[in-house]
Amino acid sequence: MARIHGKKGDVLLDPTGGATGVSLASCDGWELNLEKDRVDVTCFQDENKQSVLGLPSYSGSMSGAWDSATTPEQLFAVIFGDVPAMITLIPNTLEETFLFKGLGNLDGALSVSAKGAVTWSSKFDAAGPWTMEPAILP
Amino acid sequence: MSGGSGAAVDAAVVAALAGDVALTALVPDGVFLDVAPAAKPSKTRFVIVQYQTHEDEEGFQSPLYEVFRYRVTARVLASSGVDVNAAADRIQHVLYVDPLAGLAGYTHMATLRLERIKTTEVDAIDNDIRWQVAGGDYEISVSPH
Repeated sequence: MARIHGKKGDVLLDPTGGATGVSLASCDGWELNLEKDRVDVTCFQDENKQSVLGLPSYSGSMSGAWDSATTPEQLFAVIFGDVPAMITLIPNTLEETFLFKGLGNLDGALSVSAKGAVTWSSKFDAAGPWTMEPAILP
Repeated sequence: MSGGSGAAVDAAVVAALAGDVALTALVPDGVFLDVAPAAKPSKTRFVIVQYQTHEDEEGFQSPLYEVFRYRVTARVLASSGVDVNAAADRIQHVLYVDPLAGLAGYTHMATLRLERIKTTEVDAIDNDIRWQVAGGDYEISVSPH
């Protein structure tokens, strides 16, 4: 194991929510947010503020360049649909067994500028249980 | 998607300029990469294409697109800038208005002109000779396939 570069990252999408993910073309980045809710449980006589943790959100985003040959069918068809897609986020395809995956609700945005490439971005949040593989003991 | 070394883009720029009848009428001695070939009689009306920079816009596994920058200038041995300005107009039309064709391994995305160039140079050997120089710096974005 070593520290790795993001160039070999990948995003797999299965628009049916199944396990047959296909690499999302023209993608150049993803982020996964595992932020947890903090619930304030501070009570009388406590000497400092206290909180308890909720569950990780498993939300995030993806980005890439618009390619009319692939982006509409692979990504925007999912966005316009109402079936949560199975999203698999791979930090490095050279170690493709290390991944995060789960069902996600996708939305998207398109950016067009006269000075640069047409790009897309997409945000997701969990629509079902997510896992990290390989599993680690908490 | 793999694209290539980028030489195909160099060649396509030269071919597009050399294939424009209106431009070659103004600068009939040719379109060349970097320098005009030494030949007799000396060339006095030509276009020089100078590669400047290249950048891969990285995506997962391969570049999403590549950006090439060229300095393209018409050079005319004359005391007046009339012909060289007309040649610069054609360069702008060929590169900026028309899609760049014949790109092996790539698809043309867009061409932007970053800067206009117009100057007069004194010949390094014969100080009585004036070279009219006009054109621009062009940024060409291409998608590898």
